[in-house]
Amino acid sequence: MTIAQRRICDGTLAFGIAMVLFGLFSGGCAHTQDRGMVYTEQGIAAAERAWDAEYYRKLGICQKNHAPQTPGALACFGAYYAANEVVDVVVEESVRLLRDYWTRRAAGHSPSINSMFRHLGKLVDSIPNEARKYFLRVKGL
Amino acid sequence: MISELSELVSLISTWVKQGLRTEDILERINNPDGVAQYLLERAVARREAGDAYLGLGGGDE
Repeated sequence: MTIAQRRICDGTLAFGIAMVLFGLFSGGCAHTQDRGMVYTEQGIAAAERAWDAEYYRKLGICQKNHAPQTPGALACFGAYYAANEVVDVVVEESVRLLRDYWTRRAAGHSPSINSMFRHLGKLVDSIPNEARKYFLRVKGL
Repeated sequence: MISELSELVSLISTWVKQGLRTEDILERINNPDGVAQYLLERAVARREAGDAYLGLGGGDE
């Protein structure tokens, strides 16, 4: 094989690979938002898991030191209970947003996710200090 | 040729990864009402545990 023939073969192969890569990446772009939503769900789940562990850790400490349904129990766990009420609202609203997105996708639409992320950011801002740190990174998704 | 082969390996590995993600996406499109159900279930469990300890919310105890 001459140098010219070899260059033509290499060029053809490189062109083929480039075309396959182009097809793959351009095809992937159509699902970028969908993947983003899966990552967002995973981020919320990770934050929720961290808060869940902290919530039960604190509950365990309080249960060891204060009998249930006493003023001591309320003093020990009240702030976490109150924080969790807000977290629950945020989680429920996040799930509603996620389901709304996937319902629209199932109907063949391509909903914008920017407004959803803004709404999610406001929800995270409403979480009390006890739990907010776990959810802050969700805002950055 | 080695660089082309490595590109092909990278291509196949990307393809495999994207296939897995596509399954995740299809699962959600096929059942949007079930998305993140586990989050809601854990929220209920947390609330009930707190209610039971503090004696709030008309819990089971």
